[in-house]
Amino acid sequence: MDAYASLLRMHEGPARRLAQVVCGSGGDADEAVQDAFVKAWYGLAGFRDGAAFRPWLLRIVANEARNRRRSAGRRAGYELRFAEDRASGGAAPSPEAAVLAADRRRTVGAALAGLPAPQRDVVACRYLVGLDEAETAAVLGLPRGTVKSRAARGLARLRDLLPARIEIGGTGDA
Amino acid sequence: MPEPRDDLVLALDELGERLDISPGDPVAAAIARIRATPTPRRTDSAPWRPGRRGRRVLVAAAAVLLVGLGATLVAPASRHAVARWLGIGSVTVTYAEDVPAAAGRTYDLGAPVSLTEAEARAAAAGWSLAAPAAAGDPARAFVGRPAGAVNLVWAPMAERPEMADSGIGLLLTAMPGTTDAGGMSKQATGGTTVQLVRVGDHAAYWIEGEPHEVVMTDRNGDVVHESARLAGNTLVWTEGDVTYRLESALDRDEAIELASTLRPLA
Repeated sequence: MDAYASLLRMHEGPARRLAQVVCGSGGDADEAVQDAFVKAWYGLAGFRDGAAFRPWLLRIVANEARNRRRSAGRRAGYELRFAEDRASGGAAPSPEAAVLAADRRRTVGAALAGLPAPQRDVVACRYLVGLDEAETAAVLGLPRGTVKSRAARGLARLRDLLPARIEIGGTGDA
Repeated sequence: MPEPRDDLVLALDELGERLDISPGDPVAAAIARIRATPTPRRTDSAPWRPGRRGRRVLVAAAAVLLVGLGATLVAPASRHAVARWLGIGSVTVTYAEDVPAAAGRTYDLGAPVSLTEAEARAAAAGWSLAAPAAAGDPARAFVGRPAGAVNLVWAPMAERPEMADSGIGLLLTAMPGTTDAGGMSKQATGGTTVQLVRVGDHAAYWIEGEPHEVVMTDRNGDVVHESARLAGNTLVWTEGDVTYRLESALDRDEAIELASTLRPLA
C-alpha cells in the first residue's frame, strides 16, 4: 500500500465516524470522507510545517460533512443509525439484553438528534468520535473555551432530554 | 455534588462504536480518484535538487515511501509533510550523506544486567518490558543505552543468522516514552531503503540495506550518539508508550512476524 493510503488508513475510523455524526444518516458521509481525502492530498503541499496531521485532516472532513448537511439538512431531519448487537464469536447478549441495548441506543441517539447542531457537533466529536478538547477545537474551528462550554451545555441538555436513568449494564442508579 | 456523568458519557461512547458505517471504502476510492487525475503542475518555487553542497541531510524517507504513488504526483513539500506525519512514536528517518566509519562495527548496549533486573528497572520507571515470544528467552539484557532503554540480545541460530560478526542474532531495544523530546532518529545512506509497514495494528518502519548510524535523544532531549551501533535490518514501531527497535538479519516478513508476537516478559 502506498504511503498516503497508509496515512489515511490510520485516521480512517475517526474520519468516518466524524462524517457520519456531522451528516447524520441522511447525508452521504462516505462521499464527504472521500472528497476530504482527495482535497487533503492536494492541500498537502501548502500545509504548514510542524502541525499535526489528524486534526488538519479531520477538519477538512468536518467541513465537507457540514457542507453536505447544509445542502441536504433543510429537507432531511437528523438521524443516526446504529448497528445491531451481533454475536461476534464471544458471548452473545441475551435477546432481552439486546433489545434493551438497542432501545437505549435509539433513546440516546434521538436525544442527540434533538440538540442544536453546534452543540451536537461538539458532543459528537468529544464522545462519539473520541477527540480530546484541543482536537475538537481544531477540527471544528472553534476556540477551546467554546468547545468546553458547548460540551457542557450539550451534555446538560441531553440529560434533560433523557429519562432520569440510563441503563448501562445495571449501574445506572445514582 | 457529583453528576451522573459517567452513564451518559458511556452511552455516547457506545453510540460511537455502534455507528452504522457503510461498507464502502473511501480511502481506496479517494486514492483511485487521485491516481485518475492528471498530474498537477509543480508550483514549488525552489525545487529539491540533489547534489547541492551544504545541507546534505536529505529528507528522503518520504520519497522512498511515495515510490508507489509516483514521485511526480506530489510536490516535495508534500513528500516532506507525509514523511513527517508518518513519523512513528518519536522516531524520524532521514537520509544522510555519510555515516561514521565505525557504524555497525561495535556495540555499546549499556550495562549488562540480569533479565530480572532489567524488568525491575522498567517496572520502576513505570513501563513493562516486552519481547517477541516467538524468539524465546533473550540471552542477555543491558540497560542505559540510551537512557531509560533496555536492550535484549538473542544469540544467533539457524533461523536468525548472526549480524555482521557481532555474535548477535537478534537485538531488541525497548525505549519508553514517545514524547516530542525523547526519541531517536536513524541516518541512512542512499543504499538503505525505508518502507512503511505494519506490526499488528501499529504502523512501523522497515529499514533495510547498508549500515546506518543511529542517533538517539534520551528522555531529557539530550542527544546520544550511537554511531557504533548495528548493521542489521531494522523494524521500528511503537506500542503503548514504548518504542521498539528490532534489529536482525531477518527479512521483512520474518521480522514483522516475530515482532507481532511481542508479549510482556514473565
